[in-house]
Amino acid sequence: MSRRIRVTRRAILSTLTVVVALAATVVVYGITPHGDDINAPFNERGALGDVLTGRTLTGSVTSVRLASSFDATEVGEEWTGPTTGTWVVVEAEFAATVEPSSLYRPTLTIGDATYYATERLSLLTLDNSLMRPGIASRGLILFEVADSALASEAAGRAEVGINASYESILDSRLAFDVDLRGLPVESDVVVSRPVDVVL
Amino acid sequence: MSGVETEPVASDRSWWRRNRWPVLAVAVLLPGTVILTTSSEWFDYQNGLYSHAIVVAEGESAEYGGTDFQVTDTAIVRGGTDGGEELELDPDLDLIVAVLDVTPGDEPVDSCDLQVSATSPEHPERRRWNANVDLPRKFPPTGDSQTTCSDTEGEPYRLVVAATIPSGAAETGSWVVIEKLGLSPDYLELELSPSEVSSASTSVDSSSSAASAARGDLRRQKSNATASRLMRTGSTRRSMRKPIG
Repeated sequence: MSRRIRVTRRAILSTLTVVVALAATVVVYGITPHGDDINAPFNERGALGDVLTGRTLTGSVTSVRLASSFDATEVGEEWTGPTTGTWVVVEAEFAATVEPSSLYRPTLTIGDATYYATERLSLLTLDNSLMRPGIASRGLILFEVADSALASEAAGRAEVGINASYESILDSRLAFDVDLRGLPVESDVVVSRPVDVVL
Repeated sequence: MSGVETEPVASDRSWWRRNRWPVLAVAVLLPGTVILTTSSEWFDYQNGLYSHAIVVAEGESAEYGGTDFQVTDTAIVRGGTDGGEELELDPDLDLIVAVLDVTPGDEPVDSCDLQVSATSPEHPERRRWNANVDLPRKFPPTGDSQTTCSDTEGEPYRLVVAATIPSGAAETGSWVVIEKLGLSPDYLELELSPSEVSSASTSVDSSSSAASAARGDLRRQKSNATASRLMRTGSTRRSMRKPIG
C-alpha cells in the first residue's frame, strides 16, 4: 500500500536553487564584515619603536611611562595633574605623509576599556600639534587611566591607537602594542612642548 | 509532428508572460536600491576629492571665484646659509616665499586656505605645507601686504605666501595652492620658480620683469630688507636686521 511519490525535474531544480541560495547567503555573511566591523578602520600594527605609516601619518611610539604627577613649570604651567588614577605617558614622534594633519583623538585600549588622550593639558601635548610632511613633532600624549585597568592582565596587551581622521571610519589607523605591566609610577614627570625633528 | 515542434515555443512565451512583471520589477528595483543606498556616500566622496585643480603656469594669472591671482616673485632661503641664519631658520629647513598680485572682482574671495606644495626626487608626490604659520622667528613683517585673502572692497592688493619646508623638498617643483571653502573642489595651483637667496645682505638677481615690477611698489611700501631680498628686490640694500614694516 505504499504510496509512490513522483519527483519531477522541476521540483529537483527548485530544491537545488533554494539550497544553493541559502548556502551562498551563509558564505556571504561569513566573509563580509557586519556590526561595528562595517565601519572599522584599517589597522597598521606594530610594537614600541616601530615606524608605522598610514594614509595621513607616519611615526612611532618611542616609550611608555606611568606617572602620578607632572612638572610643567618649564613651560609656565602650574598644573601638576592631580588624579585618582594613574597617568600613562606616551612619548611619540609623528609627521604627516602628504598634507598637514593631526593626531585625531589618540586612544589607549586596555582590554574592553578605551581611554582618549587627556584634554586637561591641551596646549602642550602632541595631539594638539599640527603634523607636517617631512617635519616630525616629538612630544607626549597623556592618558588618565583607572588603577584597576593597569592592574589587570589586559595591561600587558594594551594598544596605543593613532587615527588618520577624526571619525576614523574606513580609514587607516596606527596601532602600537605596549606592555604597561611592571612599570614604575614616577612623580613630577617633566612636560615640555613638542619639538620639531626634520626627517 | 508539427504539434511537437511548436510546444516549446508556446512554453517559453507563457513563462515570460507569467514572469515579466516580477523580472521587470527586479530589473528596476535592484539598481535603484543600490543607487539610493550609495548615492549619499558617493557625492560626499566626490566633494571631498581635490580633483579640480586650476593649474596656472609661471608668470600667468588666473581667475578664481571672480578674483585674479598672479605670482609676481618667488624666493627660497636655505637653512644653513647666511640668509637662513639671519632669519634664524633651522639648518634642515628651507623657507619659500611667493608674492602675488591679487585683483578682486565683483565677488571678493575674502578668506581662503593658503598652502605651498612641492616635489623632490625623493618625494615626487606633491606634499603640502600650510602657509604663513611656523615661520622663522625673524621673518620680517610684511608691511601693507596681506597674508590671507582679504576683503579690500575691490582694491588690488599684494599677497605674501611663505612656508617652511624640509631642506630640498622643493628641488623639482613648487606651487602656491589657494582654496576657498565655497569654491571647492576647485582650487588654484600657481606654479613657482623660486630664485635662491643665499644671504640677505647679498644682492640677488633682480633682472626679471616680475622683480622689476615688484621693486617700485616695495620701495613705496618701505618693506624691510629681508622682505625685499625675499621678493628679489636686492637693490634696496637695507639691512634685514632693521625691519620697518
